[in-house]
Order: sequence, then structure tokens, then C-alpha cells
Amino acid sequence: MSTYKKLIDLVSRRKVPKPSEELWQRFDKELMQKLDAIDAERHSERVPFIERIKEVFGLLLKPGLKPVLVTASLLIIIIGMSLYFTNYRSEGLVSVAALSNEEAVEEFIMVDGLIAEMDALERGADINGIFNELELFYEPDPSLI
Amino acid sequence: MMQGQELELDLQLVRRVKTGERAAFDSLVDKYKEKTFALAFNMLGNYEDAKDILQEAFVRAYVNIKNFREDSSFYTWFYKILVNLCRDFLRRKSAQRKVFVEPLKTQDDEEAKMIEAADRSPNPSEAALDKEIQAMAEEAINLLSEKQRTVFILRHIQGMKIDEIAKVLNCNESTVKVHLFRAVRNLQKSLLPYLSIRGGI
Repeated sequence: MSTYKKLIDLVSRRKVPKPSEELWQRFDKELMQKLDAIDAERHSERVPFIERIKEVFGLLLKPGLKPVLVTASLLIIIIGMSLYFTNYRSEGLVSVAALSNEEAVEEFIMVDGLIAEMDALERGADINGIFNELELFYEPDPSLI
Repeated sequence: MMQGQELELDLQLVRRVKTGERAAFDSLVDKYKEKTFALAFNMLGNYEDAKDILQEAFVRAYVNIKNFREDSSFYTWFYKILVNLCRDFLRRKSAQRKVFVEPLKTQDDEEAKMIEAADRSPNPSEAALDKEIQAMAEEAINLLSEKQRTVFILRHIQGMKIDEIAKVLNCNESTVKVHLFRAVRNLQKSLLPYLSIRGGI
């Protein structure tokens, strides 16, 4: 162990170089130049991106372009609303094409009957009788109450 | 070992650097440049290489500071960068490690100022022998393997603890101890005759 200690002691007491002021000045100056170059590069990377954003906004805010933008925006809104309402289906509206053959036949019979009823109503048919019939139709089953 | 307060101060500086404050990084440079210059010098063996590599280490730290996760101290993280750069440099050179037995020869004599270690021996002949042994020790260190040399320098010259060295070298503590053990054993083999003369055994 004493050999180990002596060895470590000898090595640890090695000459420690002391750089001169001139070396430190060079070190500081060169390092500052390198760090300044990095800062400048970082700044120049940010500038083109910001400038491009500004360019686009600048174009949009040009006086001559404003009416065009407004018109285009309104057109888009109108077209969008039209498409929306065109595709809108209210409850109860059924596409005939979606019906099967049997369903379509039943639908036509019912519609035909309704049309006949309407004609009868117009010719002064017994409307009270028709309403009584409807009430019976819609009257709840007493056994279920 | 770094005090908790000092560590906290470093972290505050690091956070300011992350926000883009260059002056905070300059403070870190001023704080660590001398200590880390000594490490670079011990690993590379000359002033100019140490200066260049240390500058490169600071530049790398500045560029990558946003990646510093604050799960270790700044100086451990920076030491890791510096040690890796030194090792890469040595591998690239792949030349025999320089042995500095005598004061470095530079154009400017002032650059070669050395602080002489305290001479504990009152006997001039013993002092001379000590210096010779010290020179041999330098040579023996230079002949160690890269890992053994790095670990030995960090432990016995930089004064770092085993766990700190493990973090710097990104290995576990057992590995550090193994390298250290082998380094000391190899140094003993090289220096045993001189230590015998000096009366160390």
C-alpha cells in the first residue's frame, strides 16, 4: 500500500503548467469569435423564415387584393351553404331509390290513397267521418293502458 | 465534490443560456476554463492542442446546451464532452503519446512557466531523484492504454470521484475501478525499480 501511495503522490505532484496571459487572451478571443459566428448563424436562420411570413401577409394586405379576397370568401361561404342544404335530408323524406320493390309498391298505394282522400276532402266529403276514422286508428289499445 | 449551492448556480446559468443569454455562457466559460484546460493538457500533452480542443468543447456545449437534461451537473456533462473530444483527437492523431520530460519548448518562453511541485525533501540529491522519478512517471502514464490513462488522470490528477468519472465516461463504477486498478498496476511495474531506489518499498 505504501508503494501505491508513493506512486500516487509522485504522479500527483507532477508539474502543473500555467498558461501565460497571452495564451489565455488568444483562447478568449478565438472562443468569442467562434461563439459570435454561431450566434450570427442562428440569427440568419430565423430571418428568412420570418421574412417569408411577412411577405405572405404583405401580399394579402395589399389594397388591390382586398376586394378579390372578400369576393372569394363570400363565394366560398355561399357555395358551402348551398352544398350543405342540398345534401340535407329532413326527417320523413325517404329516397324512393332506397326502397325495395315491395316497400315501393306499398308506398305508392298509400300515396294514391292519400291523394284520393285529399280529392274527397276538396269535394266536400264527410270530413268528420274521416277524422273519426283517424281517431280510431290512433286510439290507444285500452288493454295496454 | 461540488457543493449543492454551486450546482444550483450552474443550473441557473444553464437555464439562462437556453433562453439565449450569451453572457450566462461566458460566465460558465470563465468559471471552468482553467480547470478544464488542465485536464485537456494532461490528456493531450501540449498547450496548443489543449487550447484548440478546449475551445471546441465549449463550442459544442454552447451549440448543444438545449439538449442538456439537467439530470447531472453541468461540469460532469461538460467534462464528458471534453474527454470524448480529447480521446477522438488522440485516436485521429494515432501517434505515440507525447512525453514531456522537460519543460515544453515554445517560441514564447513565458508560456513554459511551470509551477514546481513542493519539494518535500530537504536533501538536494533526493530532490533530483524525485524529479527524475516524476519524469519517468509521466512517461509511464503516457504509455498506459487510453482508458486507463483517462481514468487515472481524472482520478488522481483532476481529483474526481469514481461515480463522477463513471458519469463522464458513461460507464459503471466497477468498470472505472477496473481500469484504475490496471493503470496503477502497470505504473507500479514500470516504476518499481525507481521506487525501490527512492526507498518507497
